[in-house]
Amino acid sequence: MLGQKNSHSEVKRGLKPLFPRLWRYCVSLTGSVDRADDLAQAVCLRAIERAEQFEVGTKLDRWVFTIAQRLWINELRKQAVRQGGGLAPIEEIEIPDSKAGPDSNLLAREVLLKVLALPEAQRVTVMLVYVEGYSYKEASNMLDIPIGTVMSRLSAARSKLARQLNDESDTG
Amino acid sequence: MSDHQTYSDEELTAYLDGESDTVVLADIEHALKQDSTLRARLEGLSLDKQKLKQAFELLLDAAPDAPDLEPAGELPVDRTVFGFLHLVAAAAVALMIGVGAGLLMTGDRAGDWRDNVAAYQALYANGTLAHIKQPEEAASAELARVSSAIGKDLDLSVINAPDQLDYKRAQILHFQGKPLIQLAFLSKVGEPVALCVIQLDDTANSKPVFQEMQGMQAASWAKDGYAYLLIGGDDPELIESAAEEYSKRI
Repeated sequence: MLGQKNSHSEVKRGLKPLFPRLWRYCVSLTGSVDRADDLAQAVCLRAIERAEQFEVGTKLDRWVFTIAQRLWINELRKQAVRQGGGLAPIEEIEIPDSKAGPDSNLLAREVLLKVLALPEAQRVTVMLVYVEGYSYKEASNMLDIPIGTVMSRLSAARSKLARQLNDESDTG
Repeated sequence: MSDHQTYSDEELTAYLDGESDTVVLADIEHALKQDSTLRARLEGLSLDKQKLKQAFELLLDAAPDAPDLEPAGELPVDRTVFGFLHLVAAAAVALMIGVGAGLLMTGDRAGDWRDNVAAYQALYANGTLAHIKQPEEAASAELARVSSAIGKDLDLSVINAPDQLDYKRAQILHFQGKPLIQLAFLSKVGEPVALCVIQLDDTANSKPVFQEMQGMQAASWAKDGYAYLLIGGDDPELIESAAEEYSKRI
């Protein structure tokens, strides 16, 4: 009982500070801000509902991101496909000006849009490994795919991004 | 290791990522020193991870506020916090994915859909909607697409009519296999309000009835085969006047 209580309080306490990263991960999963809002909320509720399954002392972010991935793949993506398009595209995300100034903000925005334009499987893997810093093994566990698939997704993403971003820096 | 060993793009990627569990970094390092073609291929996979991280920090700044996981003062007396959240979670997830979810979804009384909508609406906070700013054309197209799911063609000017409500977005949800649309608003004081509409087979026309649901003000009415629920916030006057307006104009 004590263990259950601890995992409940750890999940509840951890969800709030984790939420911006969870939402960001949901944007990369769903490819849409509106869907990310709905998914991130559903993930919080599911996490609280299943808090007793969380092992205190392990990484809460890894556990919550895995819930997001499963909820999206098993349940909400089907609904999103049924609903069709029409949700706010990524271009319409309101991105506040960064402290580094408008030029670097523009560049960062460009990089962000290029990554988000990758196919879902690639952008999610890029997000976990390059942005969140998980190892290949962790990403393979979270996405429930072999390590070889993590490698091929990352290499395909790297190849595409290197081409696009280098082309732009050559011409610009 | 032969000097002619070739490496796949996947292996080169693992090398660039320093994944020593996956590839032998020293072998690739050695091959790169000797093979200019391999170096060129490596170049074709280059990525500035620091820039990537900085780019994704923009999304952290754009993230909405975390949902309020413990709505203060709205707990039913006979339920624990977790019991309440379980109930709301089940209702919300079931509503979002459009499947039956055991006891919450049994029965086909018109009241059931309203209970589920109310539980879902209780999860909304100002931050759920505050960042949404759609150009009029996009909002109008979205409204047309969403309202067509229930066989209606709602006009943005009608939805925008009550000046106490700022229209944000429309979504299609499902209840027991039937499409249910949700139009979301923020009130002038920043409270989320929703107008939900579902088509019901045998609904007699009825004027708005006002009640409190999940700690929020709500009005429900029926007209020409459609049932309506306007819900959100704690200002009964706002809900009354907006419900009067919508029940006349839609």
